[in-house]
Amino acid sequence: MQVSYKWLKEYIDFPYSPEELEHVLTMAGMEVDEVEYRGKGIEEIVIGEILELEKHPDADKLLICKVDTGDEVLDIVTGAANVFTEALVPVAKIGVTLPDGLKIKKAKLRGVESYGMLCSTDELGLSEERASGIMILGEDAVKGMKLIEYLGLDDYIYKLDLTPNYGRCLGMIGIARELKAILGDRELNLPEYTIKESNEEVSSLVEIQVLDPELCPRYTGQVIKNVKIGPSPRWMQQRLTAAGIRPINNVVDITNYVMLEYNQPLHAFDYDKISGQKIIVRRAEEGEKLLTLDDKERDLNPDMLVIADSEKALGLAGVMGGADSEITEETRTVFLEAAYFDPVSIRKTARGLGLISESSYRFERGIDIEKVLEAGRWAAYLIQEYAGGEVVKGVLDVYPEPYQPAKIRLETRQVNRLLGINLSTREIKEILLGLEFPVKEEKEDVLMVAVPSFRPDVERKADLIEEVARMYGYDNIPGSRPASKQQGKKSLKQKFVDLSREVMLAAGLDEIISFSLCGEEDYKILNLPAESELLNWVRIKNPLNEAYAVLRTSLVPNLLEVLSNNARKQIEAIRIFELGNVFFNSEGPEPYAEYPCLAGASMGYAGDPWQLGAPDFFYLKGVLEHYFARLGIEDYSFVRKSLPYLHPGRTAAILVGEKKVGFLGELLPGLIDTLDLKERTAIFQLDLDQLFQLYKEERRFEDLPRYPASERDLALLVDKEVAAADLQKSIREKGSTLLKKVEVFDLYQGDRIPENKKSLAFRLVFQAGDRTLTDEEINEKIAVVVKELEKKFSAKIRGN
Amino acid sequence: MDLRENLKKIEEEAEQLFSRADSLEKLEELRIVFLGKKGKITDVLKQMGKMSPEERPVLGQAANQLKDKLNNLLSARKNELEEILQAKKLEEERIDITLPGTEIITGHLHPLTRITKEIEDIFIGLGFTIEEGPEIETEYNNFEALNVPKYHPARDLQDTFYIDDHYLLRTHTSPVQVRTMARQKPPIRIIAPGRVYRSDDIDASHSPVFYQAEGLVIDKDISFADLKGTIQLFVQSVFGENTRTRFRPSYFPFTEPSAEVDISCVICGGEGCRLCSYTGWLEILGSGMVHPRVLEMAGFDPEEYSGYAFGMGLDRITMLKYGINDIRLLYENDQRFLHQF
Repeated sequence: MQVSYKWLKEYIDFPYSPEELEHVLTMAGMEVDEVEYRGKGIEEIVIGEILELEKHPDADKLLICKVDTGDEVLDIVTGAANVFTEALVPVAKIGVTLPDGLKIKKAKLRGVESYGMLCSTDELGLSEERASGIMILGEDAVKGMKLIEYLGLDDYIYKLDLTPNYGRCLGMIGIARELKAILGDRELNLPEYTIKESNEEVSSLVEIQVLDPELCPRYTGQVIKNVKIGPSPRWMQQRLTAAGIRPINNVVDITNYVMLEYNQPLHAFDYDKISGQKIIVRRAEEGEKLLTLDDKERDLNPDMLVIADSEKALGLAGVMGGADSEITEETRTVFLEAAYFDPVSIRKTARGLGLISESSYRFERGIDIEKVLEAGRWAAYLIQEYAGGEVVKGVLDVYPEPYQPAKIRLETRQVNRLLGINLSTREIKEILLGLEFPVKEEKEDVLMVAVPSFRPDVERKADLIEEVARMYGYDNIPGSRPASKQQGKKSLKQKFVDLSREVMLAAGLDEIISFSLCGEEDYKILNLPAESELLNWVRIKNPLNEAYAVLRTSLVPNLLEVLSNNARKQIEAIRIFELGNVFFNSEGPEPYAEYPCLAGASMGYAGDPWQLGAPDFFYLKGVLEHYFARLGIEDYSFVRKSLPYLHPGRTAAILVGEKKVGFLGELLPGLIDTLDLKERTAIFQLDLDQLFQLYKEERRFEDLPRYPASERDLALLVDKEVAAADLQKSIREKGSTLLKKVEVFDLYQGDRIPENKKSLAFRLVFQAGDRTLTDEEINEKIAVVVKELEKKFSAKIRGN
Repeated sequence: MDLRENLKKIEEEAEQLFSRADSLEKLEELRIVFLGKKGKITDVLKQMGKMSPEERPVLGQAANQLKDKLNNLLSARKNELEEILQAKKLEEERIDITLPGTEIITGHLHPLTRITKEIEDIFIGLGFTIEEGPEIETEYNNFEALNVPKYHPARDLQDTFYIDDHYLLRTHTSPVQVRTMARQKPPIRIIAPGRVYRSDDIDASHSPVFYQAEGLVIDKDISFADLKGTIQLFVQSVFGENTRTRFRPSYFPFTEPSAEVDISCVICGGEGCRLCSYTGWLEILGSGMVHPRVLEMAGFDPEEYSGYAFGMGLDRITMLKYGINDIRLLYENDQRFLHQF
């Protein structure tokens, strides 16, 4: 809703400056999006009258005008051909700056001095396209007058962002009524008029049948004869323009004008196009079609209400008229509709057709059913005045069930308790009366409040309490805090997530947050087989575009994109993680499933502990091992696995016990090239719900050892294919309870040992709780271990 | 020659040489020369056989005294030298203490998470617990149970991504209210941060994916004044003691009365600047008293219980707090951006 300061003032003489009005509207619940001064940039332009015209002696295309600007007569040279004597034109005098920044100076044009500039509409910023000549003003313009005053541009426009409960303020009078309640000391100025009715009876010209009174509880019609279609008066056009509505012709403009005043959408039909002198308000028939005013053919269905004649639909009730019965230059007789349509029905129709009009927007929010006719009469009067029409006697008003105001019981105690204030019953009553709610004091401290017809938003007590709060002033309500009876805390799961994040940060990974909406295209690079569950996305029914049409099934594409974007900005090393949900179609009781994942990636890590050219893989593996340790998870293992986008020799499934909880691997070189990443980039993803099940928060203290530990190193020569973890496991199994720790500390493969062999060095730590171990004891244990390793892995002990 | 004089000479000589010794090695050489098995004092003692038995013990005593003395001198000189050497070593080990320290690499928390944690901490301190809910929600939880019926204009307030006829991507964190009320009886005091979706095209201030945090308190005698006090405290905790708060009437289907909350502009403090469109105020959250119909739908009697609810955009708060001017930065994850937090 766009509100003109000057126009609003016509309905109520408020004492606010333009700035104050913005604040008042905002604090009354009408959020002001923007305030615009309409005449910005052309405040100094005055109206001048051309007294004389003379050809420039040295230039065929130039004219020298003597222009009377009220206080002086100026010689101004112009190149426009459309000027004539007595023309009233906008003049920019010397010193004035035009909206495009051009500053007017005294100029010499081919030797003739020019003391200003005559302006075209585009030069004044009043039109987008270049105008062919100087703007010629109407004969009612007055020389010396400011142009903005003449054009009605000395005005402020408030762009209101009205919430759905403020339907009443989609009309100027509704806004004025709010100001009246706030000010409390003045009345509204509403139009006063007399309609000169002809003798002919309206009922002899048209009959109205409302077949579905539920969808159309009130329908009124009037007929105005002998109208002359032409432009509406300038003041009306200016007000429409200020409100953002394009002037069309006098009759259409009047219906729009009254809508803007009363919040009552009206529709004018060309009476002569109505067949059978009948207006029928009915549901559309299946398969019925209608060409609407915007020249689009619409397919109708029985959920939609139409205004029809005896033969066909003439218009979509409350949404848009039909092209066939619209007002044209030839229209002589107008059938004027003012009605109330059911908000839900209008909304369904408008949404269904994707056709939201000024009219449907208002009906959806509920209009004042009691004022339907008043607005219609006012429009008829304006047609009489400004389109030369003769209003036919009488009104057709189908209103079978007149408005019965709802009554709401309001206890003073309840108001005060909910707001945390202390108003008296009288104060509450006065506030509600000021808002035109009829109020009766039922008994002490209990009010019975009737809801006026223009307040469809008020349904129950809470709505009235809001009205009291709003008028009392939200600012005047004190601030307090309720006593807390509970302890604030995080759940174990939340602490687990916090811990996960903390571990990742401590390990050197940056947290990222990326979109969970993505495109199918994003998964192409993963080269997944068609049956992969990662390609069974949950789809958005109404996506913005293909790039955000599905929900992610993996965090991997997101991480890859972030890596790639950074790599393309010359960032050499990056380590990132994300905690976020992935989404799947589900066979379970709920059709969709989502669960949280933790994923991480590393690129360009410096350091390669095993000299295998896998720095990022082993960095991330270290991060995960550390993470599991912090979670109290011990029985995890990394098992060889293959994934279509990961290096076949450098990918592991991560298991805890038998449960798969995630994977870790190096990206395939081809993918690395495609994404411009650094070689050896690695990535992991974990299922957080599963890990949470395994998370052990509890810690128990163990006595510190009192006897020294003994370390023994064991270098083993084994086949290249033997896994370090398998050796480690065997050592652990055979090393007895005295073996406290087994670590791999060196890997060698090279010239000094046979091909296809590798040397792995383990450090074994033995310790007893009750004594210092002897060499003999340890040697015995080692012998058992070695024997096992020889048997199981054909391992050979090196240099021992 | 008188052996005593010999001793005397040895003593003088030793004193002189000891004090001149400038390294531990030299000092050791001197020790051997004077006190060694073949040293000078031993020489003197060897000659003692020539002396009379009466003189022998006298001379032996003198020689032993000299031994002790020289030993003392030696160790004193040794200490001295060690100190000098230590000082010299320390001097040589002097470093350029202005060189930079070892680079410590830890990860950086995303600014949205930082703000979320900050807000969680404030409300945990006020006795709130943290609740979560799914991102794919039922239409019922997202709209209907929050008093937004199917054909209500309030649906226009949020452009919704639908999955099918019954499921959608939650447009706000408010369905967590519904879920909590279905599970728990009052008193309720929760905060629910999370990811939400709206069908908005991406630009500097809009994103189809963003974050919100929801608050809900339900108990006996909860008032609008309680809402104001809580929000004021929250605003001052996040934006500083001097930040002012303005409540203005607004509309949300699930609260009545409803209020939009503005804070005095974080840049100009209320004077008016570009950030606040010269109004002095910045809108940061929506709030209100829980609508009686929402309470009823949850099975709570609005005559017995009342409550307040509020919801805020975490992206917006993050952007205001850190002066980030483009929401896209939050989701691009440029390392140079992340490392600022």
